[in-house]
Amino acid sequence: MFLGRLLVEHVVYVECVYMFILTLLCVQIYRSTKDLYEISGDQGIALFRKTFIFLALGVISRFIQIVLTWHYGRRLFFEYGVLARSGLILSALFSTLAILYLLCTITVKGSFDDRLDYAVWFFAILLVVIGIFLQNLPLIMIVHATLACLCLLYVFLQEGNRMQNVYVLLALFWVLHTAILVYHFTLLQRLFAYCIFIAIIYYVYTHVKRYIV
Amino acid sequence: MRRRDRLETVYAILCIIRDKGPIKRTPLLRSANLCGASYKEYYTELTSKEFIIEQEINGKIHLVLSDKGFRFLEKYTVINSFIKEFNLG
Repeated sequence: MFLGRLLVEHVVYVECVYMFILTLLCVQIYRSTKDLYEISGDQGIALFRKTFIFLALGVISRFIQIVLTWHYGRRLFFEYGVLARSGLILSALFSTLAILYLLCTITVKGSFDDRLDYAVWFFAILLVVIGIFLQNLPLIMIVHATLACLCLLYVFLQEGNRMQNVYVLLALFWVLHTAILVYHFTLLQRLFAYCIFIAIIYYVYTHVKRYIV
Repeated sequence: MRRRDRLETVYAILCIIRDKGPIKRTPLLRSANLCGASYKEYYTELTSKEFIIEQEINGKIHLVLSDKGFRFLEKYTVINSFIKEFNLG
């Protein structure tokens, strides 16, 4: 019993550290590109920034949900208390927005406009409403996986550069990120996935840092 | 001949305005090698991004570069490399 509780607490600590590092990196990427975006007004840069801010928001809301379910002393990660459900809705919404903006960063780039922005939000809200109404998180995960596959397919068919491969890795790991929440991954599996995910974001951050003006 | 991309064209237009400004519409069109429709599109973009300002000289509208326009020209190389490296263009 004690061991079980200790393990559960360790999971929360790991999630906390992971949330902190990832949020910090994503916010740094967002802040570092602020000047470039303000000067150029380029839609490609805007999309890139939105992707990372929604990744950060996705991670924060996911952590809030984990803490809320843990706090209420219920089964870890998946129980439908009112607060936990709010956390879940935000987490699902931000995660979906992050992967949609990532897909747009790879495909639409500078041609992104307001109409497409509304479409992205509409699709994300619709998916979350359906997923939460049906109490079916795997459905959201399947849609995320499909979007990640679209990223992969697009980069495979195009002559993508190195950074596009990084975007695909980011999309695939973002799906894994949701899978961790849906299925019960062991602490070691989580640690492994989180380290790789942080390494990918850190790689992007080091490249962004070169352009700080 | 290689087709100019959008950012490159914006850069070219701003360079002309910086070097020859205050400049009227027709000489700008000629120097930037743009057709009327493209000019209108770029003009809307440049004014909405506040890169250029309209100035009335002797009752005629002239275009000059704003501070933001000057900053864009300074940072163009950095912006261009960023867009290329991150494949955002």
